[in-house]
Amino acid sequence: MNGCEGFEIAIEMTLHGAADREASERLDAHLATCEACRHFEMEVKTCEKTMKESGCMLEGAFDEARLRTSIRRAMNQHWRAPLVFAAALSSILAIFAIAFWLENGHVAYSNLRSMILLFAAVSALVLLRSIQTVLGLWWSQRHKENLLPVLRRDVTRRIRATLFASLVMGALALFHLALWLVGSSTPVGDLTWKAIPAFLFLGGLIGGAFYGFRVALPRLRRERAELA
Amino acid sequence: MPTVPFDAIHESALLVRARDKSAREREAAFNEVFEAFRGKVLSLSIHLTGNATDAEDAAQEVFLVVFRDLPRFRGESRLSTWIYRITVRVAFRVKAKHPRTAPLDLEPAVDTPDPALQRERSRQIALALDRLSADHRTVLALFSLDGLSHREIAETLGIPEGTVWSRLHLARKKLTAELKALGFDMAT
Repeated sequence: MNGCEGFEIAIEMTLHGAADREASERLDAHLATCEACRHFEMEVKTCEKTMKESGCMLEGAFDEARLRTSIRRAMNQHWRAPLVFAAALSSILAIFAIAFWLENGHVAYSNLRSMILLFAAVSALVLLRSIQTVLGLWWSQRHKENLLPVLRRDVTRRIRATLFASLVMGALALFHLALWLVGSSTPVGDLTWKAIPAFLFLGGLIGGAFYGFRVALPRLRRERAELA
Repeated sequence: MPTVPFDAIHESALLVRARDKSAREREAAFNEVFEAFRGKVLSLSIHLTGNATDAEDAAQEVFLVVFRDLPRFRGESRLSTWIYRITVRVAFRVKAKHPRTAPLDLEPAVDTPDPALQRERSRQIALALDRLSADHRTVLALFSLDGLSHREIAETLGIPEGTVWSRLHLARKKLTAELKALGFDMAT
């Protein structure tokens, strides 16, 4: 430690406006006589200025829109896990509901095996798509590639899948309503607790189609526009 | 960019909005925070991580944490202090995840308004900072932000104010020595 160390700290404090008047005056008096401290003051100022400049310059090089988009995208990612969980849970519940329903003979157009196959196929498709996206992101991150094209492809796939699922749900709901109206298979005449799954299933189809068209698809399209 | 992003009253109002039931209101509060702190978080991240890619990753993660935790932030410290504390933690985590060595084949800097040379100066600063300890790098990076007082820096780092000055002094000496070793002219 040299004798000027206290003054060197005082230089830092003065530069950042933290020194009181008395300390500043003492420092000024010392600087008038000490070449080493004047040199140190110059170095501190240069160092401070250069650090500020470098931070500002690199900061200006960032694309704000890209940062915003990636934050929004990552925010949306938080919704995906619960959404996938909810979808899986409702699929399982739907399978049980259909099985229960079939036992009571309320389905005219299908059987248990084909319904299970349908749900299994949809679930497998969702799973494969998710794996594909996760692998794509992992690969891009590993190779320091731009994530935006990967995310854009993922959103496009999700739009297609949501559109398809919404259309299928809408069609099935209409088909069911038509069957009930014609009267070949209706749980309305048999309003016991055993008919509840039938109503739940129809409600789920209508709700799913409505959610797909009115909420999920506009959100995904907005997301794709932001990623463009 | 304002020197002090928010005053205390504005900050409390913002926190109330961040806890609002309406998602739109919450998002508007977050957007305001993002606008006010984007530059400072990026600048701090650049100095702490030493490269633009990691800095962008860190900034993204910082704002995600802010978005997630802002409604739960109880205002025990200034909002800025809280955000800078998150930034320091996240930036070092990102840097530890992707250890990169700064380029060593650098030309000595010449003081000129030329953008290419300015970029080179920034790279040299990054390289010199990379050779400092995490504590020294952090204190220098925090002091390079406009409008951040030494009290806020002490609060951000959780150390006494006196320690802030002594740490800054040591860090500055080491940085100056590193820059000189890289051929940087410190007397201009």
